[in-house]
Amino acid sequence: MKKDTVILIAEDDSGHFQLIKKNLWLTCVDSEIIQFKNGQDVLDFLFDMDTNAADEDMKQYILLLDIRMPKVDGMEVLRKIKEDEKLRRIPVIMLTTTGEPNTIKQCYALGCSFYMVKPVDYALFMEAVQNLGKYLSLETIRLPFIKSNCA
Amino acid sequence: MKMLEDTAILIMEDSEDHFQLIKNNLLPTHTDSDIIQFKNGRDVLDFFFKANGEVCFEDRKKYILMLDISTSQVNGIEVLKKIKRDVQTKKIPVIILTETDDPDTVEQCYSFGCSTYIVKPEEYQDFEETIQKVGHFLSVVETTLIQ
Repeated sequence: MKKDTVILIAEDDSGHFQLIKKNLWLTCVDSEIIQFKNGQDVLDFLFDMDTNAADEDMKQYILLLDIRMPKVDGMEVLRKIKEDEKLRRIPVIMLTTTGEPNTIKQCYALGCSFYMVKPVDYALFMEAVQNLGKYLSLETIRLPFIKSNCA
Repeated sequence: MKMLEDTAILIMEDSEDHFQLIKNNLLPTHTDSDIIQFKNGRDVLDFFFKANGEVCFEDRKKYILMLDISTSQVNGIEVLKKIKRDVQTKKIPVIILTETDDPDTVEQCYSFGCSTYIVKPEEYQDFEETIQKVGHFLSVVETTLIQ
């Protein structure tokens, strides 16, 4: 993955965040990774971006989104991003403990790119994140550019 | 281990060689899934939409769609738009897998709601490895019934 890609991870469980970060770094070392501990912080980050910034400040973002989080939950974050004209292009991958079919269906209806359930087994969780990392670091993957003033 | 036998991977790909390569490299991770080829966009739309505009699909199936947007006849981007505009079929993750490597097209596909945009690698071996990684990733992804 290109160096100007930023992986945003909304995850309030610090153990899970460390596991995700470690296993992503094993597979996409070049990307910047930013953690958000609740839904409101992700929204503040994304909606405070100056989407009219100069071209050279454009970055590519991917959001990994947990559902159960303090303040604003992941589904509400997803809804707000996908309702926004510019931000809606950001690929959002749900990464959560809930595998409840209706929740999965709702997230796809709201426009998530993919839905992953965190495996309870530690080794399987690591493997799943590595599979995600290898996918995101495919040399020919193309992501949308979102203008940012946070360069 | 997740049950994948109720998943169908629909691949719009007019090149027979490319379809075989994609299928062969998805099979190790998706032995129990249906892998179905469509040669053009018209056939994909006919698969989901009846002449009267109603949506038809199998009740117990979950779908993943891979689109080669450079395929002729009904343009792949039109297929993406139509799939993502319908309240039921919009729940299907759509992966663009194409030769077209044009930034404007990439932006357009993401604004229409594609899940990922991947350019087909030129080298045979790179193409195979890419599809294997797609397969491994999809094997840890949950999809949904669309009704």
